[in-house]
Amino acid sequence: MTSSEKINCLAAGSGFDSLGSQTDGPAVDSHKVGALGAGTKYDVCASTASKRQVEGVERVGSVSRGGLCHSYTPDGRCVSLFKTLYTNACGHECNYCQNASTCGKPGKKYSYAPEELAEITMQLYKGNYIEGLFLSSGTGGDENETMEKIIETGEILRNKYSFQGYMHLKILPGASKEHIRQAMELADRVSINLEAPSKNYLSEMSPTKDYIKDIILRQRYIKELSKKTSSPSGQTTQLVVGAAGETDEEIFQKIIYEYNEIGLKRAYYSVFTPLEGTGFSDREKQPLWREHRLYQMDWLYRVYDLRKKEIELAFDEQGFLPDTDPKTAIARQTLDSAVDPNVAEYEELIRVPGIGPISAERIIMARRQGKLTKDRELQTLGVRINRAKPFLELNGWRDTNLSRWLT
Amino acid sequence: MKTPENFIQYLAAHRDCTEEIMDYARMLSQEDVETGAEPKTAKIRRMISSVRLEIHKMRGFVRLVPLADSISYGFMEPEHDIGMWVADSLAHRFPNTEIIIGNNQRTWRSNYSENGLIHQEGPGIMATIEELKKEQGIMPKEQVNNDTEKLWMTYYLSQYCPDRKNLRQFHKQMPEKHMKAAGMHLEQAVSYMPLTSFV
Repeated sequence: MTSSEKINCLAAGSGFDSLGSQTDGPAVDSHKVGALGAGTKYDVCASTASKRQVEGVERVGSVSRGGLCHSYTPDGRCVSLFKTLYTNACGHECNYCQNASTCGKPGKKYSYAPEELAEITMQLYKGNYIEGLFLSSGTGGDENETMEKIIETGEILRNKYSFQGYMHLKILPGASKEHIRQAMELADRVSINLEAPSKNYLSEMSPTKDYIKDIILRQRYIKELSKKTSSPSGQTTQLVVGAAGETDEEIFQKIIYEYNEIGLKRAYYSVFTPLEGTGFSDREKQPLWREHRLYQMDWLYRVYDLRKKEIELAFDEQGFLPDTDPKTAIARQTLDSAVDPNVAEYEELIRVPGIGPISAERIIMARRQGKLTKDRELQTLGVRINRAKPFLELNGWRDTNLSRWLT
Repeated sequence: MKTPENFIQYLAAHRDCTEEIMDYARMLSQEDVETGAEPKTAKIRRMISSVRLEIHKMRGFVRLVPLADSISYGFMEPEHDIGMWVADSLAHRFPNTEIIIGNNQRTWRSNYSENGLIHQEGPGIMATIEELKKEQGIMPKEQVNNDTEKLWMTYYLSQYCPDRKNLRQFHKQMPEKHMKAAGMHLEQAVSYMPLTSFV
């Protein structure tokens, strides 16, 4: 659609033009596609990496080991999945969500049918617009009835259309163990949203959900079933950050617990945004940088393998992260002496700001062939020299300027 | 290690690759390319990385349009000589489908079936389609509609959170040259995006 057509549609107050006259694909209500798509826009999970083996030629689709992005939104987020709600009708009373039954400004309620949703997914997939489907939902009638629809959609895709692309299915809070098992047999990944770091915070945010029974217990079911099912699906989770005054440290401690005890693969963080008509519409919007800093902490724990005790140094006395690079903040408190890239172990190198896992490995390989003596050499290996320099000793020289201590 | 074992093949596909660069690269090991700090090696590393990035982006950005049963085509005009990598990757994804991607000058055609992967280069898209008609007696549809593009755009716009707008990040992830190479028109969508937030 051209920009002028779009403007005409907007002027007519009709949103988008109708897609009802299609000949190739299913007759689709574009308002429904838009509304149910928008229902997932705060769900920031975009991973599509899967190690599942796809074989044979009687199939449509495949997965990618490293994941693949087919597009990006104007906020720079990867759009690689057809991410949608099955229905935006919901019986829960979450104070941050516009689909809540208590929302004072409810939008029109829509629902897909499993066949319809599978057809749309296939149409987009065959056009190479997506890596697969991410299916979430409001509870609809009740959580198990809607779980059945989610599973049916997955079954149609896998069995009728021989779809072998990526599939992420949401587990609704309180879903039965059998429904969870069926979803796990179909999906590359499943997830149930934790939303908050503790029972008390969740009861303030979502009074109709029981933190332990509806969410944590279901996460444990997923962990248990992972060992029994043939599918490779692991679980992820997401939190709404800052809706109920919770601190970054509380969030971080909870997620570390989940990584270790629940076998969580990834945690996603979405900062709270007050939405019109919701119970929390007058609460303070959380800054986007809070989400960014939490991801950095997550990365330091999972990828850089920093210990919990080191990471905790980045929090202030109230348990919040300041808007500065946490790795630099930690390095200032832990790197007592300058690191010599010619002799330092991998574990030491990776703790230097400006050096990541790839550049640390490259440094170790490069120094086997000769001593590293210049900043420029480190730069070509991928080191961000301005950030790293205050913590390094190169060629017997040490940069003693104040930048090490200044933010 | 980021440098792949077959780095020479990627280097050869680079737009600015010369015999001199190839001769020099043949003397290097995988490890040399990965860690070499002297300018020539660093340049080779950047060239390989640029080729591999374009392959990766095209695998995601090229759109396919069904032309007839089991035939799909897509526009692509890449900077480097990477067409066959992308066509083969799409053919693997859609077995038993003739994948044709290309532009007015060149096409890359690939088909993955129980007979394995069969691929060939050809002239411009129109000429390739004429060839297909003769070869297989295929009658492509007279008019290809863009309903899937419309459906996609509706969905794509629904994912945007205006309060998170970050065009710098958008352009970093979707450089203009890659969008152009894949024939994408997302910038147009982005330009009218703010209007939708009033609807």
